[in-house]
Amino acid sequence: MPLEDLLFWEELPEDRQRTLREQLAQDPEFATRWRAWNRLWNALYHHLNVRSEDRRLLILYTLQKTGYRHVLTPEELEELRQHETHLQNLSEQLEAFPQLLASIQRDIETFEEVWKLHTPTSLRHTRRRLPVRIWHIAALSLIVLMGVLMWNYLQYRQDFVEIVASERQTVSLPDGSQVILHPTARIAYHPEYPRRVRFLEGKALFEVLTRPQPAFVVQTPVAYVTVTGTTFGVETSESATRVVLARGRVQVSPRHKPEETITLEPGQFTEVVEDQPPTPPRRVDITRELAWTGMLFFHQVPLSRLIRTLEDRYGVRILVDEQLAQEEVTATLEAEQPIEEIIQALALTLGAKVEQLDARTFRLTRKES
Amino acid sequence: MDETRWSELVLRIRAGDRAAENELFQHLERLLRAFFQRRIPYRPELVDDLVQNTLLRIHQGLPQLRRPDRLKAFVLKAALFELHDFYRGRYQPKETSYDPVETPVQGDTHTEAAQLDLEKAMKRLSPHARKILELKIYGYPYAEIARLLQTTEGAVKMQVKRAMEQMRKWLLLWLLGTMYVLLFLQH
Repeated sequence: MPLEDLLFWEELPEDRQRTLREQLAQDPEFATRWRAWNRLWNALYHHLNVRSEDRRLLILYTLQKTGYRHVLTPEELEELRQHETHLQNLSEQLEAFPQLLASIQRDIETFEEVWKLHTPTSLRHTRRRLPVRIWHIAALSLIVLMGVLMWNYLQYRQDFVEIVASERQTVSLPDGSQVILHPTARIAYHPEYPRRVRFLEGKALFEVLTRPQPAFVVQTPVAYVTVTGTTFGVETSESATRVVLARGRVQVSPRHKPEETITLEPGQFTEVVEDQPPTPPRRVDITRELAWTGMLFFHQVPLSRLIRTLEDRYGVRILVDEQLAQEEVTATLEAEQPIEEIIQALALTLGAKVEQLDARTFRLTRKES
Repeated sequence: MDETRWSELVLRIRAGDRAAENELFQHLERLLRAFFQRRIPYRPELVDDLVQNTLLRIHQGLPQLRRPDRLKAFVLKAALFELHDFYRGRYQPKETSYDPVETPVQGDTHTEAAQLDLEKAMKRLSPHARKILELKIYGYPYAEIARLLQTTEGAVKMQVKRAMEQMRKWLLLWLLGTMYVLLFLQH
C-alpha cells in the first residue's frame, strides 16, 4: 500500500478514495497494513496530546504577546496566568511552537485587513437625506468618474508583472537590477516603471544597479525602501518589513508617514511595523541574516571569522598568520563559488600569497615587501 | 465605523431593535466570509458553514458582552476560535473508519511503554521533521505548513513520508528487541 495514500488522503481525488475504500473492504491484508499506519498516526496525535483547551490558550497567548492584550477579558487574562506553566511547557516541548504562534498572528492580521476593508465609515441611519435631484446628478457623475478610473486602473493592472517564487529564484528587472527571491516570495512591477517594485510578501535580496535618477524604490505593505545602488535584503509580511543592508546605502520610511525616514549603513538592520516609525538602525550579523540567499556577506569582520565560515562551508583548512587574521575584511561571496577562487581573491585583496599544502589545506601569508 | 458607533448598534440590538440586528449581522457576514475565504482558500465549500457557526457564536455571546465598544475584539476571537475548530478537524466528514484524516478519539489506550518508545522515536527525528509532524497533527494543511516554514509543499510532504517511515522502522526494531529479550529470559 502506498504510504502517500494514507498521509495525503485529504488531497486524493474522490475516485481514488473510493477505489481505496473498496480495496480496504475486500482485502483484509491491505486493511491490516492500513490500520497499522493509522495506529502510528493516532499514537502520534495522542503523544502530542493536542487538546482543544490548548488551542484556545494558544490563541489567547498569541493575542497577549502581539499587542492585543486589550482584547482579552479579565477572565481570559486570569486563565492565561493560571496556565502559564503549561504554556511554558508547550513552548519547550513543541518544536513548532513559534510557527503555531506565527500562524495565529497571521490570522489576526488577516482579520484586521478585512475589518478595515469591510467596515463602512458611517451608518445608514445617520446619513442626511439629500434632495432626489442632487442625488441623481451626483450618482451619474460618480458612475462616469468610476468608469474612467476603473478603465485606467484595469489598463495599468493588465500590464503589471507579478512573480511568485516556487523555489529560490533570481529575477532580472527591466533596468538590469536583480532580485533573488526566497521560496513563496511575491513581487510585482510595472514594465513602464522598472525602478519601482512592489514587494508583497516573503524574503528577497535586491542587487540594484547604480543610477542617479530615478531612485529605485521597493514598496512593501508598510514601508518604502529607497536606494541608489546597493545590495540589501528585505523580509515582509502584510504588517511588518525588515531590511538588512549588505552594501551601499538605503533610506527606509513608513508608508503612512514617508517623512519619518532613516538611513541604513552597511551591516545595519531596521524594521517597520504597521503605523510605527522605523526602528533605529542597529548592527546585525549580515552573514547570518542573509544566509538564505546562498551567498556569504561580510562587512568589516576580522579575516579569522570569514576563514571559519569558509572552513565550515567548504570542509577545508585555511591557515593564516595571527597578524593577518586580525585584518578587517568586507566581502561578498557568490553561492557555489570554488574555494580556490575565493582564496585567490582574498589573497589579492589582502596582499597575501597562497600556498596549497594538500587537496584540502591552504596557507595565507603576508607577502614580504 | 468607530467604537462608539459599534456600541450604539449593540445597545440598539439589546433594546430589541431588529433592524440594527439585521444590519450588524449582514455586515459581519460579509466580513467573516472575506476572512475565511482568505485563510482557507483551499476549502471554499466550508466557508458558509464557518461563517454561520461564527455568527452563531457571536449571537449567543452578544447578551453577555459587558462592554459593547469591544465588539471588534469579540468578533476577532469568535473568528479565531472557529478557524481553529476547523484545523482541529471539526469540519471533517467522517465517512468510514478507514479515513485516516478522522480525528482520533481521546482516551484510546496506549501503554506507557509504547508512549516512551514513541517519544524516543520522535526525538530521533530532525527538528525540522518534528516541526512538520507537529503542525500536521495540529491540523494545518500541507500548503499552510509549507508557507509557515518557507518551503515548498512537495518538500513538506517528502519530510512527512520519510519521518513516518523512519519512526515505524525504529518502533518495529525496538519491539523486536524487546521480544528477543523476553524470549531470552524465558529460556
